[in-house]
Amino acid sequence: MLQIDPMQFLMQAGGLFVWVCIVAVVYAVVEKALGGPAAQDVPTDM
Amino acid sequence: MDAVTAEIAFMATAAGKAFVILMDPVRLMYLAAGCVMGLVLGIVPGIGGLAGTAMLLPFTFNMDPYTAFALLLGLGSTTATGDPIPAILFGVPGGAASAATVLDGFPMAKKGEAGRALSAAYMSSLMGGVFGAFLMAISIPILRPVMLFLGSPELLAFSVLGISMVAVLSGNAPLRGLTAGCIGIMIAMIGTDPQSGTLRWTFNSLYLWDGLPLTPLLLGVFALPELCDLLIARTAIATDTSMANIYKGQWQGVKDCFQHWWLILRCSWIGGGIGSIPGISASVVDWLAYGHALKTEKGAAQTFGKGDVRGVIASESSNNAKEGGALVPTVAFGVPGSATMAILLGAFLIHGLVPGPDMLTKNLDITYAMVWSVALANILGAGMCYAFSPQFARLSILRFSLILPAVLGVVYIGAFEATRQWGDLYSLLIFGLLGWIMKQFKWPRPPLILGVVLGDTIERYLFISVERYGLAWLTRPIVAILFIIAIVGLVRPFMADIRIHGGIKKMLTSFQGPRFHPSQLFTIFVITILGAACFMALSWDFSAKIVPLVIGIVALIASGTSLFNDMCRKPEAGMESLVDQTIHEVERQISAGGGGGAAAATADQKIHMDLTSETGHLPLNIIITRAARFFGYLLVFMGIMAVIGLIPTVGLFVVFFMRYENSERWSLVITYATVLVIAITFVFEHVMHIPWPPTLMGQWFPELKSIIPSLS
Repeated sequence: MLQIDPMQFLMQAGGLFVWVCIVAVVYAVVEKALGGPAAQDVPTDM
Repeated sequence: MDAVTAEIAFMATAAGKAFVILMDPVRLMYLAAGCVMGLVLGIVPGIGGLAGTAMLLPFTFNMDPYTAFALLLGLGSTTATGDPIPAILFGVPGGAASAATVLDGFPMAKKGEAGRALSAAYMSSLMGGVFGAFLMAISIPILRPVMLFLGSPELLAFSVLGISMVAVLSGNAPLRGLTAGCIGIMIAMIGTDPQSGTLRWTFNSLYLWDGLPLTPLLLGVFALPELCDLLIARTAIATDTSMANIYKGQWQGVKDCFQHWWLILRCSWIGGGIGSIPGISASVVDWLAYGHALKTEKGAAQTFGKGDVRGVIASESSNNAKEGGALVPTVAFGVPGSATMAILLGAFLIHGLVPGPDMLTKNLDITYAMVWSVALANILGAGMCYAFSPQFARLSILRFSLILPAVLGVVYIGAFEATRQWGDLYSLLIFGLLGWIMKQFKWPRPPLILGVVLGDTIERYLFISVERYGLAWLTRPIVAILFIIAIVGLVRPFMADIRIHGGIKKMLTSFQGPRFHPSQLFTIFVITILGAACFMALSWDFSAKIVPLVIGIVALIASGTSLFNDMCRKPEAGMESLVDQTIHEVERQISAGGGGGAAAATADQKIHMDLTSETGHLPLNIIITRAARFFGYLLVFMGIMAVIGLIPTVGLFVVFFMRYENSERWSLVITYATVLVIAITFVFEHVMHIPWPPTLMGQWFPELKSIIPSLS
């Protein structure tokens, strides 16, 4: 009943993994260029 | 006598035959599949049983009626079992039917009692659901004359009774509650007036012509403020939940249910009874049961709203019982008891079944198969919840940086499913901001939703009643009784307020020069909007403007009085506000052991029937900065989504949010983002085939639509 195209799904899953990696690399480069992880306000109650 | 015996034998035979048919392994498998889907859809905020039933309907074309209804009712019966999970763990009602569960379930999770609250919710859902099925089984043959006796005036009176609950639900702010309820009714009237065709408050927007859909409004008012506060407080919902507590609490939750069996029975009766009255939205049932428990349970006034398990039990037993009740008019008269039942009515026609006497005679076995399906689905659903309860409960100890991106993505998808227009997302954002401000300034939000849910119904039945009966409908006994109960419910909190202040005379003389506070700016904003709305309504047809104007004027008076009280009422010595004063008075009375009527009256006032912000300990500038950042995220999210689609945006957002907000380690960020986007793709793109909002990339490069998920 559920029509799932495994090939299409696997390709999309792979593509999404690559996309996440690209975003992460770009962010890491920008983060490094700006001098390390963002100095966010300290968690209040952790 | 023989006739009665023969009748009973006929019923029992049909019930037995239906049970044997349903025990077929394939049918049981479909029932279980329906339960799983119902639970999942109940847990996912914004996608409730309504959307689920509609989505499943096409898959039942080739099934026999027993199997088809096993699947559909498996889903419909268990969404109310699954939806307390987000309500308790996140404070986000999975559906409108579990909105009242939030009030006590969420505080319990915060106290580290998530396991107990969930267990009590499952068990009371099971008991309520089985009771609902039982109610259907015995009422089908006998309810027909009663149902025929109810006309539009009675249905109107039931809706008015539902609206009168705003007074109970507004706790320490009855005027604000009344204003919020009236605003809700006015929101429900946005769109084309069914009587005259007048466009009411549509602002030349095609999106608003059919009225504002409930889902983005519900998600905006209840889900976004909780997520915003999560970012502001930067802490997990439950800070002290341990696994030991979760396991220990489960058994306690079961014991709670057996201990309060009488409450479950009463609330199930409310759920089943109200659910069986057509036209009254299922969203009211849990509020009515919660209000009933608040009024009748010993000591409830002191503990409800702060994490009392009885609040969870009342709400959950009633909302599961309503499915059985709602089936009664659907099956017997073809009058859907709820919106889900309206879709189910379509299933009847698809399978060649005609609701009405046939369902009680030659197709009685199908009717009883439905009864068994509802009962078994509730047992299966609760069993599944118990089996995976620790996994669900674990969610409440997750960090905000893990919860927020996932919930936000699902909230966006849920909101968009309302009408599948970008307007849904704008509504989500606007009502999210409104909800957060209301939460910050302690304006009760539930009355707003109640107004929206019942507003349309009230106006429709009012016109039918006046057209059909003139003013004579007011003298019908059931109408009169229901109206009296509604008026008493509305007036009671104001009388208690007067009593607290030592009578009307003292109340009217204890005023001073105006004092200003930032929270009054919001009240002034509300008054301005209400004034503008009433002014716009002046030019409409009489039939289109009468109800909105009356409601608008009531809201203006209530909000104006509230503002005047806020500015000019003299504070009692040593106390800052009416709320503080009441809290201290209740604490004094409780510590002095005075638990009598006066204590109950004041305690009633103390309860703020909504979740209050846990961010009061933070400096104002931090609250404002973080809230601005949250709503900034939402705006940027929507902007990027408009270009590249929702799923790639979720991936981008998760990476940025987890790293920027909480400096999570890269391995976790990449794993979490990948798993989340793949899961969303699988469930919503491949299983549910959800239509996505149109995107610029999709328009520029149509060939990419089959490659990039959610690109439309």
